[in-house]
Amino acid sequence: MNMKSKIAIVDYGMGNLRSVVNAFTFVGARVKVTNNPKELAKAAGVVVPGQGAIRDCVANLHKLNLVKALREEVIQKHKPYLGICLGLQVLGDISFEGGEFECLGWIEGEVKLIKPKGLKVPHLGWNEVNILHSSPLFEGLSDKECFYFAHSYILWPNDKSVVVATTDYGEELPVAIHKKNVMAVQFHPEKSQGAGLKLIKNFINFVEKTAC
Amino acid sequence: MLKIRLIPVMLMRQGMLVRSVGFTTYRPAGNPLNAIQFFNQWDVDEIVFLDITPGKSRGVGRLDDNYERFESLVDYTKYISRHCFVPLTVGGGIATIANMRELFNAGADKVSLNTIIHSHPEVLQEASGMFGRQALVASIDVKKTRGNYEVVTGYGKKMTGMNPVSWAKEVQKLGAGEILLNSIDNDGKMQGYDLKLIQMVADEVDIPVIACGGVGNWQHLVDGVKKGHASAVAAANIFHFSEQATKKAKDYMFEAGLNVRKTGFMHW
Amino acid sequence: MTFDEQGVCSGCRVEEEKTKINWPERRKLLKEILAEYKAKAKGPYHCIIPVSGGKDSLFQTYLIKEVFGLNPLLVTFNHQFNTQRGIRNLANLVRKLEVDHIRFTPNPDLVRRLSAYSLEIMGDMFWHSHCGIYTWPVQIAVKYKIPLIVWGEQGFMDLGGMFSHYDMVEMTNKFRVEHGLRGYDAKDMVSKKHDISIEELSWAVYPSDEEIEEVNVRGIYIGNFLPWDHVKQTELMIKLYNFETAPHPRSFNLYENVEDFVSNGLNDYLRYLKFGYGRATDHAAYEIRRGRMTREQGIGMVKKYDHVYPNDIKIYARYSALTERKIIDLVEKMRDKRAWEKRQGKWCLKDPVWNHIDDEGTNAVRLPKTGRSKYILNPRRVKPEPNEYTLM
Repeated sequence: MNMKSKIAIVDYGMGNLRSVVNAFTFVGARVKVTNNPKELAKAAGVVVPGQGAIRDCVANLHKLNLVKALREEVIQKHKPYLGICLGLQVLGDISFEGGEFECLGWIEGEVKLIKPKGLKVPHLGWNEVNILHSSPLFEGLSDKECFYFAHSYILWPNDKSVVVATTDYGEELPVAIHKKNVMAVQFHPEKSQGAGLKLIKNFINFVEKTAC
Repeated sequence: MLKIRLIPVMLMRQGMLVRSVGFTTYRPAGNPLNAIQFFNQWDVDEIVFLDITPGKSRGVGRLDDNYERFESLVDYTKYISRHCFVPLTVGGGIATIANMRELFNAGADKVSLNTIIHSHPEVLQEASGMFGRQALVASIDVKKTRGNYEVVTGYGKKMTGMNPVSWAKEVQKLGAGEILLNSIDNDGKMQGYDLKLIQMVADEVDIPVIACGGVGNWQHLVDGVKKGHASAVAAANIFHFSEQATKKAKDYMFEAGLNVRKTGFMHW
Repeated sequence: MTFDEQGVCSGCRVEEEKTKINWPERRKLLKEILAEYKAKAKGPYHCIIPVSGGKDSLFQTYLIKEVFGLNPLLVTFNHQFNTQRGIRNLANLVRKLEVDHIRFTPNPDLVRRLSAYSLEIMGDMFWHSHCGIYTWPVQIAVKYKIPLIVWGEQGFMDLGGMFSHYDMVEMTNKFRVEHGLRGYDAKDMVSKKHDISIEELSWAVYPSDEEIEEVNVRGIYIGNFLPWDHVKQTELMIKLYNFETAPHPRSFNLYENVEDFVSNGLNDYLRYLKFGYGRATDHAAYEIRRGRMTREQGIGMVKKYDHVYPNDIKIYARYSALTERKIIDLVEKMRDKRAWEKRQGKWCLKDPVWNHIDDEGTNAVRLPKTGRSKYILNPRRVKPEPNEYTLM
């Protein structure tokens, strides 16, 4: 089995790209940082990271002609997709962060401000993740493992069956989704030390399996 | 439930990590790369990396060791972030959006702002809209003058006449996601946090407060949470002094009943 | 090191702390710590003392065994650049203090290859010794399940002021890697060119975090519990145990590193080439701080000794099959340009300390001279030292 399928990490000018690249490189992936649709076409898997505001995220994706390219590679060609933070939120229909912004619509649902009673916003820090269903993402990871969160908004999928993990922060937040070849997490695996690196490794293994 | 966080603070002065006392006396403590590698091994939750070099060269150093030195904070960030898999906050004289973006691109996950918020508060607002408040830490240094707490800026040299609680509320309004609250008087004294100060601020703001300044033993960390109501506890000096220091601190906090994350030792 | 607004270095400031510390309290604390480990010892040994056979080894062992009544296990890493005087002192230590002792000698051929490699990449041919003395005793602590390791002086605290006496600093792997080994750990010394494999470096690998935690290894520095002064301490060791001392061409101090050729000799000269100052500067700093020398006298010592070309370079040249010229050339690229500059094709110190003998502000921080700098030569008729390294 070819252990070195190329993984494209999409650079659309948002957030902590370097941390994501560092983490993927550290666990042995062959990464290509790009916003070129031609490179996405050559990759075996796609990662969309992102930190910041959804408004700029969506605007940049459109400006760089990436919306069409991503749809082609992920939805039509079924390439494995991992979204991190904004990369999860952008999958919804619409986000209400700082206005109303239309997103990709691959996962039906709305992105809204979290409202944890009596707790501080943003949801910032380490929290335990409850694994609901088995998913290749959490292979080898135990229930209640801690991951790092840094967000004020979250995607609420209409179809609850795509939610594979939740976190308790005043209410139960849907923090990991998996629908066919599309996976996404609200937390930051690239900043979640051992557990996060394992999750990234799991995604890479999933890409390898799919590529064969 | 959100975990209480343990955060070592790495103070860099002219390319060298230092320990400080009262923001004035500095002693060399080592090299940022070595420190970040060991901290990542020893059960930390985040790392704060602050450049306190007042306009001097950062690239000075010996030529016979296995460490590289650079002139810019951005290059140091690139160098050390490769070995850091917990959130890394970088600060020290950051004044522009472009500077922040450079640091994020270099591997910083959050940036810490201090002086610029006083002189140009609109920069914080703009940064908040652009990067999100969760990526912005407002660093607040406090000194006691004539029995009253006062916010100080410029590495502890410039008095602002402001009360820390009102300033904390202001930075929250402007868009900071967290506050790094430092007691200059307690810094380096190893007598514990200024719990009154920490609690005063933590109880009045909605954003998390990271306590810093004065840790002398692990019980001080516990007090910072239980009595000071801090969401995270930080220290710049003590973690350089004993084997597996941060892990031992974490274990102590766990035994004291705090809701901390325990990962044991990392192996890379 | 750091310098404050008065121009005084961190090392001097840390020495000043000694006058303010409650030493009886610290001594009591040491007694308690030692008693604790004696009580919970699982086997016959209460602690480990890493020893080289030098003056500090003797003092530490005397303190732990004779004064505090523990039964230590002494361990020595044989760096192989030994003087016969050093071997005599080590044997004397073990015999007179009546202790059990383990000595580890790594493969001499490996040491030769390692020394050549470390000279090339760090300008230091003694890396294997720095590594061995910081690593192998810790391995023994883990193997024999003896948690307490008693180190002597925290050199970086006492000389450069890296730590304060208030930090109660303990030995850490973090310190070992960065300061003991300059960032080059065992895995970094694997080399195809010099034919060094990781398997040969088993003695150089620090135990894992889990192993350290399981045994709860703890390395304390005696320098935190009593006001360290190696001159006074060595005088006592000469008196009690006939510790042998000797003059050295590169310093006025008769006590330091008599057990190996290079620490005052070639290795210190290489350090001088890199940074512009040598052992004589360190020794003078100690004496000035302790009121036994004036700053002017100290500067005189620096001028006299720092630059002296090391005799023992000939021994190393034979050992390594490198010429003296080649040995010096390997360090050229590591000369710190802040200290050195070339004038008419010759390397010169840019701004040596003797240019600052009358600097403004020196009188404001001048320390009173309360004693005299003197060293006892023991025996008076120095036993001749053959010009070669003694393996055992």
